[in-house]
Amino acid sequence: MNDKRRNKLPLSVINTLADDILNLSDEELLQEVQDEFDDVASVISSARNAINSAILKSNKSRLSDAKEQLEQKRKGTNQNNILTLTLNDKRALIHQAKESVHSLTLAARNEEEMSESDINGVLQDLVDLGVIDENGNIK
Amino acid sequence: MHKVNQVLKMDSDYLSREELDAAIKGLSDVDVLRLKKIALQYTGNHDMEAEELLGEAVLRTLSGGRKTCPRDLPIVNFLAGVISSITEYERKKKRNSGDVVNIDDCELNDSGNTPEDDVLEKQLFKQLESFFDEDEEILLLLLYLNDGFSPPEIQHEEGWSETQYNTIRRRMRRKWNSHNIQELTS
Repeated sequence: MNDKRRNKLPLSVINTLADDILNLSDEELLQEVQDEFDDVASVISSARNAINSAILKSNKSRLSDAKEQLEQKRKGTNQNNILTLTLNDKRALIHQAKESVHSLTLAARNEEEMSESDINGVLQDLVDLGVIDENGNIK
Repeated sequence: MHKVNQVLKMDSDYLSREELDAAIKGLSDVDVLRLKKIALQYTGNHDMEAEELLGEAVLRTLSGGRKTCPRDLPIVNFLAGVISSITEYERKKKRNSGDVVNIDDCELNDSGNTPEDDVLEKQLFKQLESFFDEDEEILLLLLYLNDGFSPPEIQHEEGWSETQYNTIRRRMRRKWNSHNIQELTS
């Protein structure tokens, strides 16, 4: 049988015909297939290849999603490390970063006058800029 | 497809992702052949070939949410339902991609069809009625399908037993497929 038959049928009719195929006994199905295809083993093999490729694609996609979630979780955990420092330690860290990187210009130069929210924002910026790592170590 | 219409159930009534994976990997040769024949039946309504359609059905099944395949439904029947859904979607997408009608611009009827869908369906039914004009029972079956009747409703309306209905349906499939094969090989 040619795979490229181009019969145009209303969907309700195709669904009805598909139901008939589902209703065939195994023996009836095998008989039909043998009448329609010259090489049944090849038909099985190519259909299985299509199924296995889809399984593989799905597994790869799941693995990629899992990696991304893990990365997000790791980032979240690491961000928490720096944000759980005491306010004084955070201020000290910003001061240390300014001292060690002379080219660094901070919008708020005096960390003593900054609110904790501002400090958290600056720390996050320093992490994003690569000045300090997620654990608060100067790079 | 009437066989895959299920009432919403609890999560535990559905196969988990791992169970789905195992069920698909465990398909027998007969299962695979059955799915191939079903996929072949649906090709012709969009650009996807039978194996592409089968692969897409497996991919969508494995990528689905928690409530995918009910435990009491054979995986082959479930995948057949997914193939049907993909076909419906692809067919509408194909029509939408043409310059004639934009589905977004059309008002949908109760069945989710656009007026364009309905016109095309009617045309296809007319062609089928012409093809089967010597078989009164198949013509009746087509009339009911065109009006959206379910198999039990058709059997009730015509007083057909399930066996009679199945026999007419099989005759329709074999005549139609035989005609298509001859057309392709001639």
